[in-house]
Amino acid sequence: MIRKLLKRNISAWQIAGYSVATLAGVVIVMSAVQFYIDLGGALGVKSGSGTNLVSPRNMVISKPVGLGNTLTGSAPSFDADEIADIEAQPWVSGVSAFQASNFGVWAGVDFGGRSLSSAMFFESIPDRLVDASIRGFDFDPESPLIPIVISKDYLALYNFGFATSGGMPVVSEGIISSIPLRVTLSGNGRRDTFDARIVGFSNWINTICVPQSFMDWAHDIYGSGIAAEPSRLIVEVSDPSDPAVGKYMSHNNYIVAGPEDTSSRATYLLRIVSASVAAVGAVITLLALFILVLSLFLLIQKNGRSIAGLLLLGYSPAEVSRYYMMLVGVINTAVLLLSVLAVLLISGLWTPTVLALGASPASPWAAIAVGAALLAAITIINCFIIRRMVANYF
Amino acid sequence: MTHDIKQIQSIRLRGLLPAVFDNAPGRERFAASRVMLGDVVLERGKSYCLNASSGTGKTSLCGFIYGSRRDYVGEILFNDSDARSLSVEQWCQLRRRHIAFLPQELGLFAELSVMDNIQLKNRLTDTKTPTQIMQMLDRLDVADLADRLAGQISVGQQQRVALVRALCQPFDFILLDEPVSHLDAFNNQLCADLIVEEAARYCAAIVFTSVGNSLSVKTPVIPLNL
Repeated sequence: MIRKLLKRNISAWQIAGYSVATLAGVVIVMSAVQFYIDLGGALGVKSGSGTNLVSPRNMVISKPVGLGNTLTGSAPSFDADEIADIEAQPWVSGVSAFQASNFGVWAGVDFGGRSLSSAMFFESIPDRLVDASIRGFDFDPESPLIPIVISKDYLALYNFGFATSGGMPVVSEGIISSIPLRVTLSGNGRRDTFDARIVGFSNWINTICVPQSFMDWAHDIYGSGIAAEPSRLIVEVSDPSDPAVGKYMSHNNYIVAGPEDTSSRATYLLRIVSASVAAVGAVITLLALFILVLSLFLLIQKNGRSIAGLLLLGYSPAEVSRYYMMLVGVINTAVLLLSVLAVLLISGLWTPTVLALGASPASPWAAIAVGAALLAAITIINCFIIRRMVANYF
Repeated sequence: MTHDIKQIQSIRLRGLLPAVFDNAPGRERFAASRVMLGDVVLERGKSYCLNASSGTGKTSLCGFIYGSRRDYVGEILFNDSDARSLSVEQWCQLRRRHIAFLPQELGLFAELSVMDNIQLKNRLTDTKTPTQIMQMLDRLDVADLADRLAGQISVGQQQRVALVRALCQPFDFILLDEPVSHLDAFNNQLCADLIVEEAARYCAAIVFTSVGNSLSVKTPVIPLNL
């Protein structure tokens, strides 16, 4: 009976207007979120099964090799002033150097009935920067087994270059990780051979990396004691897609290794586009909220006599408000369901692009959560307004 | 006052005056009033007639006591608790269980049927069965109107329907603002008898206003001049 009284003066057109406007706004916001997550994931995706060695938030920078370096035989390195300048940038949260081995390294492997051996080098980076997903990347001098992370490109070079032309078997990451290596270290008049094993592959850092603890230990025993200036730095940045980062690197002619160089710009653009679209959606949703609030004002005002009459009979403002709250709740739930449906359909537009980039479309739950939160906020605001307006008649 | 409203034994009106007359010209008109600016105690179980000419504040007084108007100075005490201290929930409880009210403008919903209008109150208080409601309507000679829209019956019939609705709750006091203003003597008597009977069931006080056509209750009535 309360419903019979209070549903008078409800304008189907006003409800339809609000529903359509809210649907448009929420769908735009949710689509922007889904677009950002899907495309963001696709831009950040790594091919193959390698690791990053360090987090993609850390940038590995170096200098280009010039004619001077060729003539002097020295690698282009960073001096203390340059490191201090990088550290002083507001977007930098830390700078670490690659430490190169200054002792002789010779590695060999018995593989496919043949022996392969080569002079090589080791580098290390601070342990805290090493990707935690790399297992067994530590060193114990009591039972020395040297764990090594090599660049994935080296394996590709072997498989697609050396193995193919030299009649050697092609190997996967799993197989090569199980092959024992012999590493001979020399220096300070000593020469010792150790077992070694490849424990991981780096996607975008070209290095042969060993644990810092091993490097310190080996330097003490075999090192020449000459500390060279670092030729590569790991710069920890708060946001790799910050345009200031690229501008600084470009201005100083530094080479940035890793996925950031292209994808960070794309990510930045993606973020700008998504945020702009989401903002438009939010504005439409806000305007829709105003439509609903005005409609409710009008409705409650038109039904003021009935509301006052019910309160006079002993109905509480909460009981009288409940009908209008339910109305808002039902409309917003319907809008949410339609929005979810619309976003699932719309996201199909860019799914082929995401798949082409080698990634899978992300779960829609984040976008649904955003839509639900938006509509929950609208519902709560409206319920509060309804309660206040009805209470005014008490 | 505790959260639950206790049975109201008395309503005390102390120094009461519509706020519009406070420190304003016209205040002197209440010099002879026992109620306005006075100190009156309405007790449960008794009957009171607020007699005065039009425009002297009878309807306002009913609104002040029922909590639908708060523009007054002075005090209204339910037992010993100030009406101003009641919460919205307590006012709702008071309107459902302790004070029944028949407003002068009746407050029926024209778009609902007579029975729906009554059930709107009865379902809230869960006091009468449909049969009891029909019996009351029958006693007031409006039973045949149960299914008619309230807006389609005469004012006199509406007055009787509104009275039945007001009686669909337990009460300690029943406020009746000109309850028989549109009724003839016969229907006046029917209404009065029903009101007295229902009030006796709850040992309640009857407080009614009149501008001439007074409710014909046969019990002793204490006149209160406004």
